[in-house]
Amino acid sequence: MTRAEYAGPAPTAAQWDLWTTSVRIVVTDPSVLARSTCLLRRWLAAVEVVASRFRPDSEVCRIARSGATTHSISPLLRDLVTTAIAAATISQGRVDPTVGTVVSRLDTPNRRRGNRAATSIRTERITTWHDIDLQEGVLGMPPRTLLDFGAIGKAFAADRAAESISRAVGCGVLVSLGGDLRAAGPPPDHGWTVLVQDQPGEPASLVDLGDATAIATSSTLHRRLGYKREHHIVDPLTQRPIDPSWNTVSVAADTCVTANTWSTAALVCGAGAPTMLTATGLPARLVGTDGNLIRLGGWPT
Amino acid sequence: MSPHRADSGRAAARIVTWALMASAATGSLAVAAIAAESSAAVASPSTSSQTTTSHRSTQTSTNDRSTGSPANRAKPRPGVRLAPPTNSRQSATSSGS
Repeated sequence: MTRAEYAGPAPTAAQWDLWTTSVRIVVTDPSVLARSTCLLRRWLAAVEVVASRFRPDSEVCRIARSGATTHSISPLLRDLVTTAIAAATISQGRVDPTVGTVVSRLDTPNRRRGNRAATSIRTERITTWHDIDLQEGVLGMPPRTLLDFGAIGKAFAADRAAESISRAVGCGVLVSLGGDLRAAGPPPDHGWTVLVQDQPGEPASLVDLGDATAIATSSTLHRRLGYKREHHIVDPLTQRPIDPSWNTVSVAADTCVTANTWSTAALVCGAGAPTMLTATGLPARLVGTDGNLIRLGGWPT
Repeated sequence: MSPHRADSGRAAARIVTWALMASAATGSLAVAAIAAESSAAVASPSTSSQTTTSHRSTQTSTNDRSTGSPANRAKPRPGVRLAPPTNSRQSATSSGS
């Protein structure tokens, strides 16, 4: 069904807080909102059990504590690792799931305040995504490596959830996890209109998703790590929080993982981000730390 | 073939391999499309059934990125375009995370 053919009722939405951000689901058929919400909660719970570095019982934390070098992993973690490796590849390591080790160390005071991951991470050398070996559901990597899907985890969840829920309920679905947003199925008659704004007072942009189905926004203005309150974007190469050139980078694409990979990579890339993003051809919007606003790839003014 | 060209070739092959695997895992062509070196390389990603991945043997320095932008390998893709809103009734907000 195309947008022109859709003549149903106005979209309806549910929203709640999770993972220190806001979850929102919008469906084009109000009669399936309750079921869609239930399905989304299940998806997010499943991802959390596998990938949260804040839950001592999560699969990634258990793997990090085990001290082993090979692990038989769940299908969902396999898919997450595969996706994360692809993100690391196309970003040339700017988005790397192995930064969990250093992020956890930087974030120690926060963990002690209640989100204790029950991992004590010390490594002698820098572990990178090159050290990950995934074969037939068996994950190999240096001992005590804590995988961190903070970059693409929500995007992965948004992609998977939106696609599967739309198929299950048979209507258009939009899933938003903080900055990571994915639409699937037929859009409403007026399209999916999205406000892109990091936080109140920051520059705002209202856009129609058009031919894109996903937008991801990465920011250095939000989460903070540890007692130094450094922002949470860590450069895998330096193993330190980046020196930000941008407050916010938003990218539109046809999957949220793709959009998030480039928005995160742009923050890590720094001053060279516009050149990098221009070559992708994707619509992108960058808000500099100096307030400079750059639109690329046909991002609407 | 010079060592540099050989390394570039291996890196390109690895990108395509990982992208294909990701597309198979996620059911999406997006990562494959954005990473592929050529349109031929992404012609049939959904048919990939490969489930074994290992790249330890082709490890490259993370310093690669200082000499080669990932953008050099990304191809502009048609069909991903935003539009000005046709109404002010917003469906959701993409805030930073």
